[in-house]
Amino acid sequence: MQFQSLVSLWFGLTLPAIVLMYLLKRKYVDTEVPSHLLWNRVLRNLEANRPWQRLRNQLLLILQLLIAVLLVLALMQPWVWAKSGVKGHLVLVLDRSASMDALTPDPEDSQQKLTRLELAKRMAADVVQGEASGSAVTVISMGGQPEVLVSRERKTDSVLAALQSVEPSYGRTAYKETMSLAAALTQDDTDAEIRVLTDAGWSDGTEGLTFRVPVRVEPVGDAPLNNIAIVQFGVRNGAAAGSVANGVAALKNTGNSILETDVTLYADSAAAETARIRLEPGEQRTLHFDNIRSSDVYKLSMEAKDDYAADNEAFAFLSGDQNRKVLLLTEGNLFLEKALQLARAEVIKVQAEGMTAPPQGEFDLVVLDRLQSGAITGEAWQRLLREKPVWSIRSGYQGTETNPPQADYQISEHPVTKYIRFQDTHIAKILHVEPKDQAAWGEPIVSAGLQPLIFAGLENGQPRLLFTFDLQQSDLPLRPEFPILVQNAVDWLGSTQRASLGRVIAGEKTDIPVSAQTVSAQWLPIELAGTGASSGSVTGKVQAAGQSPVPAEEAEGAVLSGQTVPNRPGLYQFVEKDEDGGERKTYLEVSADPRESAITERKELEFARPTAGNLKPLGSGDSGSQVQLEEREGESPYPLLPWIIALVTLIVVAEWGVYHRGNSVS
Amino acid sequence: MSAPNLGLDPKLLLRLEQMSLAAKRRIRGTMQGKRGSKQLGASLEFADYRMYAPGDDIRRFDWGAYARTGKPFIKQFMDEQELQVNLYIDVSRSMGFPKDDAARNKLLYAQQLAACVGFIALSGYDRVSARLFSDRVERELPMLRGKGSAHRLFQFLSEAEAVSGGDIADAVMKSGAIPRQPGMTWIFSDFLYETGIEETLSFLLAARQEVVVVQVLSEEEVRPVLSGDLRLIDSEFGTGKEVAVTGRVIEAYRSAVRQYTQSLRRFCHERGMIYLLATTDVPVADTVQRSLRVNGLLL
Repeated sequence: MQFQSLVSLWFGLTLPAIVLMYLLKRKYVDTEVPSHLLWNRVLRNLEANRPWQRLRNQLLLILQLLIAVLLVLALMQPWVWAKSGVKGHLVLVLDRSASMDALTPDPEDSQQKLTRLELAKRMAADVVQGEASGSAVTVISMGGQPEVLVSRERKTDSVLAALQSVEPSYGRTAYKETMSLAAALTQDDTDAEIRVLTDAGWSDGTEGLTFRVPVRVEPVGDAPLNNIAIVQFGVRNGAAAGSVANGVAALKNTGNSILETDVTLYADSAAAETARIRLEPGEQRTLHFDNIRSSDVYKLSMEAKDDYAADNEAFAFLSGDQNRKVLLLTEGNLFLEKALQLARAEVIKVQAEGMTAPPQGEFDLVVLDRLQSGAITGEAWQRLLREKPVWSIRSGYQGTETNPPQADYQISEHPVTKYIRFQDTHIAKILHVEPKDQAAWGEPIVSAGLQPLIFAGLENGQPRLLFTFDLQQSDLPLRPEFPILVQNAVDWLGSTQRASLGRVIAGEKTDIPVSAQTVSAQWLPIELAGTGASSGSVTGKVQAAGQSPVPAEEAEGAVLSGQTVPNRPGLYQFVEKDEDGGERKTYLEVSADPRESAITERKELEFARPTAGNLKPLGSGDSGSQVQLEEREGESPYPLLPWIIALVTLIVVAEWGVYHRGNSVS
Repeated sequence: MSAPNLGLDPKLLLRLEQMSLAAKRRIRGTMQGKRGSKQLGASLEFADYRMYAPGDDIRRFDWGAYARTGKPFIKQFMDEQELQVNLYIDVSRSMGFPKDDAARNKLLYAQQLAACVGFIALSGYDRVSARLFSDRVERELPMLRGKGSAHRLFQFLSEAEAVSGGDIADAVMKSGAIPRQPGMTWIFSDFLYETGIEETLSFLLAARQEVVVVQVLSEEEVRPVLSGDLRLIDSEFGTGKEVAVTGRVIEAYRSAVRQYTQSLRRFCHERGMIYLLATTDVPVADTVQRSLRVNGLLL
């Protein structure tokens, strides 16, 4: 038993006071009787048990002392750590982050292994069916965003069904948001508690959140685990010809036992190279694969089955053809042309005037230099401009010539402005752009004062770059930064033309250049990682049985360029279908949140209680004597005050009876 | 005939004058009295004849028989002797209750009873002695005879005062305190003694006394009206006893009183003694005229 207010022990001085008062008050009235003879007989009969009888005579005093002791005890506000029972409203927070997909021994059958999430579900079901069967249950799953599955549900079946529907989420996990939601749900609810079923491998904490109700963390799966994570995997074209590629991979043992495994690199479906690797716990090693043959998709796969499957495979794609075809529409701009060629672009220079249709051939990007608005018209041009990345230099819009303000250049972080400082660059004139309507697709990445100089953004999934000034009215082309800027621009504009969409963390949004002809699109799973994923070839077949293609997000009949990638890690193809039935396929690797690979990491979870909580006595100014109530693992402070009050009431009734009987002689 | 300080009704005394004490057996005294004796004597009651022996009182010679038979016969008559009545009155402190209510004071009651008994005895030509005892015989009234001595008896009794201490065995079982002649002994006491009551009564029996035990209890003792937390102080020893008096305690006390008087009564009856319980709320006249008569003590 512990006490919140030890200062109240001073009230214990009332006890001697009561005794004193009793000594004063309990005065026997002297009554002379002829003889004790008969009284002795009476008392001998009554006092069959003499010590008890003596106590009985003092019963009133003892009862009063007992009451005083209990009152002092009540003032001291005792509490004990008690196994906290389920409150009226139970908020179950179920962690479904990727690390919950790790295997852990079944506590009921040590031979079997099941994922932490399954274990957590079972624990939650036990709670719901057992101690919380009379409570309202709210289930929140902690995934990419907090999701309330059932709210204040009293039907056990519904809660169990909701629990069963929880699937692991491989993306970034919104730990703090979920706890914030749980805190908000229990804000004004005194008879509530939060139980978090988690492996405590949280990437962010709960700083700044306060919980008005007890939060109990039920740890899931703390058995020793072995895991090797593929931390990084990449391939690039060899220095020489395009037929050979080099790969590099970093592997780390995030488990707590030594693990040895074969690591195989697949180029398309064929095993290209195998390496044996032995890693101590916590050790990281880099593997190099040289001179592997060129292929669309590379896969790095670990042979050993460890406890966490989501990071056992990684995919990589060669970046696309370096030589981009650039259609340059200009009156003539030697600096730009040379800079483009330096950026390994194949420049086709045309004069737009008089051309009703773009020249034949495939272009990776279009550069419009000082093109009057309305200079190019016609369906073919518009279609080209819609479907291709476009770099407009003082082109394609109307505005007024103004002098740029004398102010410092503000450069935001963007692939185009990498290494660019614009130092000492002078710009004579700019053509003013209304950002709201003329460049609504993008953000200014370089501006002088309030005047934007360079816009960058995506329109219909295609990158757009807009310079509001004429290169010839500036000394920018004379600066050493200019080729770099052009290289950055070409790289960024051409990046979407690759055969792959790269690597995206599960459940995140990514921008996909969707062709204008596309009428429908879907995610086609090629190979899925994680528990139950099959390993093998990465040819275009759907490997995982029962994994049907996921339709892409659409709005108003059109496929959105901003797509949320599927939740399950693995290799996907984004398949776009146009009206003619033609298909365009782009590879995408969906990976689990790499932070979740640290499956043995456990974070000390702390849930702050409000400092001026209602458990504290009111009006107590002496904070030094107060013992802050902390939540303890699986237990919560159980105040004994109600019990003491009940006991005092009982004793008062008993005392009344004793007192009454002592005076009830007729 | 006056009865100083004892508050006895002269009419009662007049009635008592007509009565006499009934002794159960023939007694043997020393003085001539009105009681039939076991001995032959000089009463008018014929008992027997016997042969004359020289020295016999010739006044008793039966001349008629001598004339008819020629044999000298002496007529014998029953002797009539006086009864010795000993009155023992307990004057220990416990008898002085209730102190505040003179009308129901046990000692006064005992005095009045003793006076009545003594008056009856004197009226019946019996000899009366009286002793006041606590833990010893405090005062003693020598034998009185004749109605004319009643005044002295009353005077003696009325001077009795409750004194501290009390031990009936110590007081009575002494050679000087015991009646020498067989007779009738009345003990007026509350008999609230821890020990010695049975021994004393047996002792008196052995002294050829016809013992009449009169237990005088006040109403407060039989049916106490007490409540609350009391320190009960023994009047004789001054010791205190703290009692939270409840209805249950009172109930237990009453039953204890009942038990005590019953056991005393049983003891007396087993030994041929007469036992009387006199509570002070009953008028003395009633006790004398009814209880004594019912118990066969009055003729």
